[in-house]
Amino acid sequence: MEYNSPWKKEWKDILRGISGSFLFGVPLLYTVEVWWAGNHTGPFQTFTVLLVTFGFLLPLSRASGFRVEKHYGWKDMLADSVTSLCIGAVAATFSLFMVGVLRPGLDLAAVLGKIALETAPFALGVGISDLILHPERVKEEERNSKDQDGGGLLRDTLKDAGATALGSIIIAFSIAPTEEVQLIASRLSSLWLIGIVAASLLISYMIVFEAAFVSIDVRKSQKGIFQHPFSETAFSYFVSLVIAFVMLWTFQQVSFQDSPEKLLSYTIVLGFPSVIGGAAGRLAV
Amino acid sequence: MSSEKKQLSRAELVSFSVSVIILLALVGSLLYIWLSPRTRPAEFRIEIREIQNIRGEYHVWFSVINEGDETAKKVIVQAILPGSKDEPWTVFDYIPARSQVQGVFVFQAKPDPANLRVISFQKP
Repeated sequence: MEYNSPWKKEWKDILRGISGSFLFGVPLLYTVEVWWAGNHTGPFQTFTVLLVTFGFLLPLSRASGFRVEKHYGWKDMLADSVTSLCIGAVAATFSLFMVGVLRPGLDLAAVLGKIALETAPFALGVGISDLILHPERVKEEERNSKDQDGGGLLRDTLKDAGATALGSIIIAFSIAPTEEVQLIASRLSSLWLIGIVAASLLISYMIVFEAAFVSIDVRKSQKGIFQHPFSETAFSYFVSLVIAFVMLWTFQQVSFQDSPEKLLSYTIVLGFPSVIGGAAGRLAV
Repeated sequence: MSSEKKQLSRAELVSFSVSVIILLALVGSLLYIWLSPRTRPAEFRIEIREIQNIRGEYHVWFSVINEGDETAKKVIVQAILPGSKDEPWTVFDYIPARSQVQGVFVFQAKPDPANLRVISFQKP
């Protein structure tokens, strides 16, 4: 695993950390009780949550962490845990902002409470990101599966679509029946929804092509029709949106009598966790 | 599978330093909240923002501002209209300390004036 510069390697490591944080954090991002609990979490409690999360990150950054190359000295472990906690906090803050939970008119204590409670799962995701997204392992599995089924254009494409659908179902299934999709969708403007589409595409691309692979050439060497990074990302987003819609329809959150605006906004809002599940699915299968 | 390395690279030091700054800001803000006195219980001010006539009905937009230092849960706001027996009410799940939420009452007749008040809330 050779990198041209330590800066590029660091960038890749951080992207891996961010990807891990979304994979692990998103289900709790779509949990209204966590936002509510943040409303009345006092500063001492908030600080304790961050401290305990940091405590868990210490052994995690030794066992997995977000770096491909491990540090084993205690100082480095400490530094990596601090960086992991920060990546988690930034990813959590961004996500809360994106789903409209952090809004103007909210008191600083409530803002920090919500951020800290969401930081815990997001930071733990950073702590295990190399375990889920280690480049060599993903590369090897990719190669093995290719050897076994011999490839084939349609087959590779179907396999990707299937894996995306499977990952999407697992995540979207647990979120679709809950109230959160409606809550989030109802407070976002159409411009904001476009932002969610952009973030969904970006994070899905990041998980599959930046975090898990040293070079996108490896992934590109697969022969599916939609195997170019951009077309694959767009295609898998489409699959994830379809799954999100089917899940919403199954749990009667939407019906065909609803306005197109409602159908679109609900699907895009559930599409965010769904596409993240889909990205994980493609890496796993 | 994982290779070992001896010391932090400059790039790693930069991300560590940035992280320290961000986390210090976070902890600093917590410390600020902790040290600033917060003793006022939840107390509410209601502002009527706008009254719109929509298809013959009167939509009264209002804000409830919690000026206290404590978050309130299940805040019930009631509207009292002169000369009317109807006393409609609405519930807000949470109004965090020093934060505000918005709501709307819909009336058939012009509410002149509409008196809104908080009739109950819970401690979270």
